Order: sequence, then structure tokens, then C-alpha cells
Amino acid sequence: MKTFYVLLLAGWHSIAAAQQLPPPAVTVNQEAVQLSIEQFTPVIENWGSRKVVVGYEAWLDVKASEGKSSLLFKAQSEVAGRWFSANFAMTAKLSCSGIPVGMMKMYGKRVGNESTPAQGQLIEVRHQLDQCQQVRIYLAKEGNLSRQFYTKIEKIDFSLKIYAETV
Amino acid sequence: MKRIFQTAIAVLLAVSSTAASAQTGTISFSLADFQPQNQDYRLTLDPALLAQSPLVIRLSAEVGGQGTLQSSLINSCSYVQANSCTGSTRAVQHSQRNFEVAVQLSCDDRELLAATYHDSEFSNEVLTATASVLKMEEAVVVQNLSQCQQAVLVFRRLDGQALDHLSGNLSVGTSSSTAGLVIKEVR
Repeated sequence: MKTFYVLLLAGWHSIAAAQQLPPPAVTVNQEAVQLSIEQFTPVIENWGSRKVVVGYEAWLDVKASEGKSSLLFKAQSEVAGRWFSANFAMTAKLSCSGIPVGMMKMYGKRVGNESTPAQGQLIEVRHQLDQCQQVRIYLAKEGNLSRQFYTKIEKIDFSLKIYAETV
Repeated sequence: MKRIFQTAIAVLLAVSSTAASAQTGTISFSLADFQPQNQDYRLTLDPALLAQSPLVIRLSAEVGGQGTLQSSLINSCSYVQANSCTGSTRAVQHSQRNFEVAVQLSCDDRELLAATYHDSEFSNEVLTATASVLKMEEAVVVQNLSQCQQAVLVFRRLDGQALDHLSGNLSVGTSSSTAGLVIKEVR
């Protein structure tokens, strides 16, 4: 009976880990959208026989951007690693319909038994965004594949707001 | 006899108080004070300055250098669905500038202060300026630092390139009640 519960729990955990939620759409001049780790897709590379999560990405539709070629992007991010790999660095890059918007570097720290999540903020005005229909958020683990393999991310909180500029 | 004993205690307290306050101070530094070693800029400090507990450390520094610049036209897709481009593809300017500097203050093997700062840009504009300057402000409280044999302040660019400019000061004391002091960590 005990084994049954252990298997049930393990199964539930693997289902929960695999469960992904679609990222929300972001509407220009509306409230910020919030994303969690479940709304990011792991980006995986092979390292020998191992699969390495080298980053996370999310694609968000952009609404109400028609005719607006200048946009202000405001993003905030907090990323936490598992306690044993809390010393890590990440780069968050934003682009809209393939056009670069901005990036932020974030550094997580572990001191003694306490971990401090990596935090970053981005505020950028971009022009000549003639067709900003889809934002890509890409969070890349820094370092070589080995370091990326051992950096286990367990939480992502990301917010994004887009304002129209009349420049 | 009791009065003499009380006087002796009072003198001892005054001496220890003077000794404690003598450990507070500020060290100003510039790039010329640092010893380049591999990719590090190292400044050896008087360890006696750090051998007290609790220790309130405040670092204020300005670091400058030439950031690395990458710029190219890249074919980019305007809309992606299920890893396939369903929008239009066109050449888009991708420019990136990066300048990252880590600072670390350590005593023997113990890290007392560590932080990384960056000046990064990712844009569709053509970037030409490489000069970057970072202003660093860090404050920590360090506990249980009973002894310190070798104290070192290290600055290092993450890409291993050289720094053009480095200046600032390191203040140590035992009080956190300093104007403008925002303590970020307890170590």
C-alpha cells in the first residue's frame, strides 16, 4: 500500500513537472502580464547522452500594436535556482517579431544556507517596430554546458508591460 | 579598594572602546593601486581592518571599460508557431553591447562581499559606443569574523578584458547607522 502511494506521488510530481500553461497575450497600454515557470518552454541541448536545459523561452502574442512603430517595454524578472545551484547567472533577451528589444543580466547567489534569487529589470524604448505581433522572452543560463546542466531553475516570475509611444 | 577596582574597570572599557573605534575607517582606491593578476585586479588590504564582529562593510566604486560590441543583420521571423515561422522573414539589425564586472572582498577563504554589475544593450539600432561605466554600491554586515590573515579586494571583468578606470572607497565599521547606508546582506 505504501509503495502504491509512493508511485502515485511520483507520478503526480512528474505530471505536475511536465504540465505547461500557454503564456498570456500582452495588450499594449493594458496591465502587465505575469508569467511563471510553467509558461516557459525549456530549451534543451544534448550534452553527450544527457539532455541539458540551457534556457527557457516564451512566445507571447501582442495585441493592439497595429500602427504603433514606437513602443516602451518594461519587464521585471526574478529567477530562483535550487539551493545547491543558487550561484548562477542568466541573461534575459526580449525581441518583438524578431526585432531586438533589450536584455538584462541577472545573478543568483547563495551565501551559507540562504539563497538570493536573480533579479533584473528592463526598460527600453524601441522604434521602427513596424509589426510587433509577438514577443519572445528568452532566458539563457550562462556558462558552459556543464554549468548549465547543474544549474537547476525552480522558479521564474516574469512581468511584462508594453506602452505605446507617440514619438 | 572597591573604588580602585571600579576605576580600573572604567579605564579598561575606555581602552577597549578606543581600540574598537580605531578599527573603523575608509580606504580610497584607484586603478593604480591594484595589481593585475591573470584577469583580476587585486588590492591587498590590512587584515586588521576586517578582524572584528559584527563588521559593517560599505563599498562604493566606479568601474569603466570598453564593452564588447556585436552587430549584424540577421534574418528574423515576424511570427513563430510551434517552432515554425508562419510570418514574414526579413533582415533585422541585431546589435549587442556587453560589459560585466564582478567585485569580491574576501578574508582568507571567506567571501565577505560579492556582486556582479552589468551594462548591457540589445537593440535594433546600430550601436557604436563601446565605453561603459558602472557605479557599484554594496553594503553588508559580516558576523563571526574572528580573525583575518589576508584580506583582498578583487575586481574582474567577466570576459577577461581590461578595465580603463577604477576608483572608489571601502568603509568598515561596526555601526549600521550611517546616513545613506542600505545594507543588502548579512554574511
